[in-house]
Amino acid sequence: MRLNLSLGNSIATNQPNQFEEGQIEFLRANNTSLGVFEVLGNTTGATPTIRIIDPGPTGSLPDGIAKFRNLIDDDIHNSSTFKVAQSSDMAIVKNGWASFLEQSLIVPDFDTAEVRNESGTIPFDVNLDSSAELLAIIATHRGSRSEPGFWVGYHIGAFQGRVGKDLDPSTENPATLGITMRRDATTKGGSFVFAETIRDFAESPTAVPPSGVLGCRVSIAVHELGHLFQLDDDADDGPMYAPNQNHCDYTSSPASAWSGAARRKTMLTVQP
Amino acid sequence: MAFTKSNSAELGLQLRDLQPGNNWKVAAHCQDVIGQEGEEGGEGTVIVGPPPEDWSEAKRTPLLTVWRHLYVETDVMDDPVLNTGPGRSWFKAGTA
Repeated sequence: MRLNLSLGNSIATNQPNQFEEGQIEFLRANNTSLGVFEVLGNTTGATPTIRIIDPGPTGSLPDGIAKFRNLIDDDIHNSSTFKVAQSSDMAIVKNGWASFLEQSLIVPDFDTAEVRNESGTIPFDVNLDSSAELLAIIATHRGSRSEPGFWVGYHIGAFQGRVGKDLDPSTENPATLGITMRRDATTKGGSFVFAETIRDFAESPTAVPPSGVLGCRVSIAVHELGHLFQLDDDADDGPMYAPNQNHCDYTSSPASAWSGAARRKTMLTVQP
Repeated sequence: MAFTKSNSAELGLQLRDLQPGNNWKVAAHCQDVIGQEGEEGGEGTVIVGPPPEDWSEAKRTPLLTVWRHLYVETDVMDDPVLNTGPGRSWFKAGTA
């Protein structure tokens, strides 16, 4: 069934079917509820068409629909037991890094006195849609810089990357679970891990990694860290870097995630 | 080098090439010269070699391997606010 809604604010043109797998509640003019329905898809613009699941045996919408409330997508409505509902749900997962890095004779140390976060938290943004946005966050919030004698990585827990690669709708492929902006002579680098997209990915019926959401976040974080050590999205750098593959679950086999060549690159890096 | 009252000496050593995986062994002897590189005596044991004088007191360390610390600075976004901005996930109300 289809219904045109007047939202007051547009659904952005790059969000077709953003609300798939979400919900909407219809109301009569007197604000009494006509029920909650599952959303199958949407068009964009100021008056989008919302497709909803067949409401019942009659195959018709309930009479008297005048209003709606709570048109929500699966970032909010999800059967998952884990939701990215607060800042701490995006925070770095530290367990497991050491087992990846010890193969390269590297010991990770998080938020020590030397690299303590002193730049405050990052304002929430549903989608980080451009390289300029990513670089601006790094420039504003990263307080440390790597040197040949003092290695530093910068990890940012965020919600989602580009709209077209955030698994809303869940048919988007490939999705971006993390991204790294490499440093250069004048620009600080850093890695983003997208907690909500990882949740969507890890808990989808067709791609359920045994390690679950938290294990996936560790694997993606370590994958992105490797890019700071010049590892590329190339199978030569190990299974974790094979293009167009699921890089979500290496916590059960950290020793084989990076190839020997990748570990060599890592060890030879002068300044990540 | 500092000499102690117990008739021994302490020596500071600064390694300059600290890439992970680089290996070192450090040998010391109270004489000025302790011999050629590559002589084998077993880790932590007396170096075996042509003794110029009193070779039996020369010592060397076990194999020392360089590990590096990677300090990770972390940041995180504030709590989600899903009903604002162009990529909103939540429209609270409207008309049909």
